[in-house]
Amino acid sequence: MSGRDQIIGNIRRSLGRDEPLAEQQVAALQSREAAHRQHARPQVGGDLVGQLKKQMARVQMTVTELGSEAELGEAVAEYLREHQLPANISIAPELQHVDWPEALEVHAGAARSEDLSSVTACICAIAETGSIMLSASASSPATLRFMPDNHMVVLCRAQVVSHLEDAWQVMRDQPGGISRAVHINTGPSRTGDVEQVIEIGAHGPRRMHVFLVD
Amino acid sequence: MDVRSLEFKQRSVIALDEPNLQKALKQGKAGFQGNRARAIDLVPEWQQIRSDAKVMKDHTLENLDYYLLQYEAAVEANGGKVHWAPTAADANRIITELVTNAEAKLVVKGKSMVSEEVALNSALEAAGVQTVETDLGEYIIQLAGEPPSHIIAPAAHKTKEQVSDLFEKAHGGPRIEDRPGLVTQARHVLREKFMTADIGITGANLFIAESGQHVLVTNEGNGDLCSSVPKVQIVITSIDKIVPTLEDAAATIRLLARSGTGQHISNYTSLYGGPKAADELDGPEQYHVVLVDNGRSTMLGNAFRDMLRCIRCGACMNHCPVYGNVGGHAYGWVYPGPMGSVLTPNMVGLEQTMDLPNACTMNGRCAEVCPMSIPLPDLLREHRRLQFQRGLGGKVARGTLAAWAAVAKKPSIYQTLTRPAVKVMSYFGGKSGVYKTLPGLGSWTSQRDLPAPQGDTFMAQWRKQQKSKKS
Ligand code: SF4
Repeated sequence: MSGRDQIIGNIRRSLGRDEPLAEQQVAALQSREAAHRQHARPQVGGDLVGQLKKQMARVQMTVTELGSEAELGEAVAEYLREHQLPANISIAPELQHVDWPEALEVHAGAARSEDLSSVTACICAIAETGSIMLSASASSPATLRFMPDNHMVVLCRAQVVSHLEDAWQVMRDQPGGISRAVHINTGPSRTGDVEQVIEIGAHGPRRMHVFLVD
Repeated sequence: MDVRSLEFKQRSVIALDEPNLQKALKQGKAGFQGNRARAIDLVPEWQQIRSDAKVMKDHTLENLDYYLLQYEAAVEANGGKVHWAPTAADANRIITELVTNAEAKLVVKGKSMVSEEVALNSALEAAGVQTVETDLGEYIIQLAGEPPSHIIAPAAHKTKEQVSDLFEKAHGGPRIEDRPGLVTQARHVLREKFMTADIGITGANLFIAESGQHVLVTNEGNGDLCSSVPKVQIVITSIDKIVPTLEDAAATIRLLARSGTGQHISNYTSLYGGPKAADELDGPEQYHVVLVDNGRSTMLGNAFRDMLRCIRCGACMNHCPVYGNVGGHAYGWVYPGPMGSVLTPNMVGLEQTMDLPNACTMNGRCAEVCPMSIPLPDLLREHRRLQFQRGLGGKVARGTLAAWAAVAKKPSIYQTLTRPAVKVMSYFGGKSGVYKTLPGLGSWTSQRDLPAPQGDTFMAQWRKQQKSKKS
């Protein structure tokens, strides 16, 4: 007997039926799924962007507000100078259209182990928790979110949603459907594993910075 | 891992005399309890979120076969593969095969309690594969050759100095003594491992039938490096971690971080569901999920079904006075605290774990804080009942209880015997009103005093009162 048959058989015995669910019951489960029934959740105040910024501050994320995407290149260069970082970045190919300043050395692609700074877009931000949601694809490699010390994210105000459930909808609606890897990142990497004192920068980025574009 | 739960008493005594451990336990307890309370205070809807999640999970368990098969179909549609492991040995065999087929030399691992449960690392070691734990806490205890002492803070019992010693020995000098320095050194050493590993193995906090995704929650980001850099991704998880839909996953995610660390959400909450697309620049080429049963499908049909709602948040042990004094290692296997005392006997047998269900004061804090409303004290009592029913346990305890029960069932004999005893004890209790020692009860009275009875038995006093009312 296969492992699957053993486990499923044992489950059915424990549930007091040896058969799969009857058609009618299956239909009930399917309609439960189709309804995307939501559960109780914490309230989020009316001003989504305000709530998002408040939550981001709690988890040591920093934010720069920009009037338009045209300001992005210079803002990134300024961020690097301010933190005394070398003037090179790895970007997600989705940001290749940006007018990057000449002084910046730009590499588009997956992260390399020596990369210090990355810039990516995202698919939405969640006000409830102060999180950024990113979806992996050819134009947005997953490693850029985890390997470099400094992760910069471009977020448009219109991309801010209220709850996790709203973010699921954005995820489901991506062109090509749900990606193999969707990340909800909330602040720089941290650990409490040495004497339960929080240290920033365990394996992932030591800084997470958001450029919030109008 | 060997089961050493029968040594609970001996190991507890050692733990109580271990100053580093006692310091770590006090620190941990205060931190975890305070952080959880503050996080929950901010959510007036907490009780409703909690009861919705319970209803959702009970529904899932009631239809577990359906949802597991739906999940498998969804993973296959995503290009991944599900493997079914009825036992721990099956899980190890399946993963060892996957690893040897890939000709892997180095495996990087994210924290997974199920992999501890099946003792995956020693199986891989036996197959000649180097396996490196990458969660900092797991890495520390791997260097120390110890099991985790807490399900979300595996190295909670280690001091900074002990970590310095371990790192100096493993990485060579110079010795690093400050905390940020230790974290940075581990980051560098482990980054190298991520870049050269052939396979990444992680656990899953939950998985979703509707979409064929698993959810991986970490604060360090190590699990995501395990899932993004190596060519092969293997996930080991257990059948009870399934939820039907993404909305159901949201309910669980909201409870998990707040109950465990007191965060609103963990830093990295990631959903994975298949190998990379052909045009992606990174990500694994293969995606495997190993679903472990190991006794859970049996629990589904007995008195322990409620335990299958557990989301492994750690709140019950963080609020348990017994855990808070003896720490995780005393429990002698991978799952400590209240949830461990319920689970372990189900997985390794009641005979191997005699003390665990009894190491509980029935104060009920664990059930109060459990986000999934698991009646932990009731389940521990059920283990005690089963122990008694199966004739397990010491002869003295059984004999004493049987004698007491025989007498207690006959009120006239009971009262005739207890009244003189109470009078004698009341008389000798004297002014202090307590007994500091009692013959034959030395180990009981070494930790506490027995209050002396005051005056007469309840029944005698009651009769006296009734009489005086009438007259
Ligand atoms: S039993 Fe409840 S409190 Fe304990 S780990 Fe499981 S879910 Fe958390």
